[in-house]
Amino acid sequence: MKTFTLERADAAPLSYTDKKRWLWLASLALPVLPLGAIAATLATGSEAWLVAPLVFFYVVVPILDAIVGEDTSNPPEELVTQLSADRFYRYLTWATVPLYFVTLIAAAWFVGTQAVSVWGILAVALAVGFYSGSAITVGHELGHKKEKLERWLAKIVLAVPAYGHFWVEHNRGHHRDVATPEDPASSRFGENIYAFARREMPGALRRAWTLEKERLARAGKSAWSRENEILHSWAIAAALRIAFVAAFGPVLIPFLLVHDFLAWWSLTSANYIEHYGLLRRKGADGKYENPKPHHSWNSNHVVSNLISFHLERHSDHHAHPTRRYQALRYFEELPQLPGGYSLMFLLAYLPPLWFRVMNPRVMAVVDGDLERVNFGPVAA
Amino acid sequence: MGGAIWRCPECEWLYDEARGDAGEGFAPGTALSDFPSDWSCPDCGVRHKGEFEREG
Repeated sequence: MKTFTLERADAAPLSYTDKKRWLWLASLALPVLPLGAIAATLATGSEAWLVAPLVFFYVVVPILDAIVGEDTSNPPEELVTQLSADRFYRYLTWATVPLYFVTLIAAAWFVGTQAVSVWGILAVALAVGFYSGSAITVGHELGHKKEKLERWLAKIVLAVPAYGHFWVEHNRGHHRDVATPEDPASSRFGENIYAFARREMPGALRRAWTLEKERLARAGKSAWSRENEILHSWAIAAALRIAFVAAFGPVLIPFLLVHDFLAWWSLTSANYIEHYGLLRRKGADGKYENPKPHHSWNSNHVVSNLISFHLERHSDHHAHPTRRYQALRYFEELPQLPGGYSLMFLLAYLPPLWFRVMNPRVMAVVDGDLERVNFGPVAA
Repeated sequence: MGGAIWRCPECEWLYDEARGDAGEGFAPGTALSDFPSDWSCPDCGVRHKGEFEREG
């Protein structure tokens, strides 16, 4: 176990051991679920195995989250530089990138060359689509970094779920507008996830394209220029899909449509629960206050955090977007989700239940002050 | 103005007015004050131009 230390002139040396260091390897084990389900189906002839990955995420992970519980520990601020510089952590995120391609290729081969029923194809598309949804989590972590290599890896991994516009949309759009009625990726009080998805999916695409078009226009270039960062990822996504259909036939078309949609839906689910009902206040200058930790919902549940590179420590992430996942902190008195993302996704899919659990929590967080609640655009 | 260097107070992104920033589409000599009003830091996204600190 590695310990980070700092000698101090006026106090005893400071030290920190990251208990989760080796546990972050869990992300590398995730493809075992869809690949294992395909292998088990091939070995036994039973397609029932194909449902296992979704059962794992929606049933096993919430149970594990409940058993293992929460981790509220933080690295000392003075050691964050050392912790962030430790390349072990970033190598893990990089190593997941090829696994998403391997898994999608294996699934495409399975669907295209084996005798699989329609239900079997649907189950593989859902299982792998869900796993590819976590490629957006990896693209998220990498896309927030300043290193060129990591930004390229973000664009490459986002080609797996064909969501290349996410990088521009998230960093320059969502982070700027988070917890305001203007943000298509922040859910409003009383808005159910199905209504949210209809606003979020097209809204995110539109904002990404507009932001990239504006950036290129400043340099006198067309939105269709080769420097358009969105097109880089989309080109890889398109090449991948054309190759799949050419190699394995037209059955890949419905498979990929379901796969891609499920990956996007996973992101929509995360966006829905991350800022529900929270609102930044406008200052006298007409600008919104800076995003603070209390403008995001946080969760410290260990297991679901380990398979999402600390995404659930979302409050610190929005306050300090370039901070690396291993250094994200928890603060007391933050808006807290009662469960990890797996459980909260399930609640979100059942709106009456979601409102019953979350609406009182929003009111508690804002202390009954309705001016701090995101109700959407208010008519003048 | 025209020669100042500005730093994002959140993520340390630097903007040198004399050099401009090709990626952001700002020609050399573009003052920070001439950036669009809805522009935010390209690296962290959470600080607007009015919050940038003068470095040099």
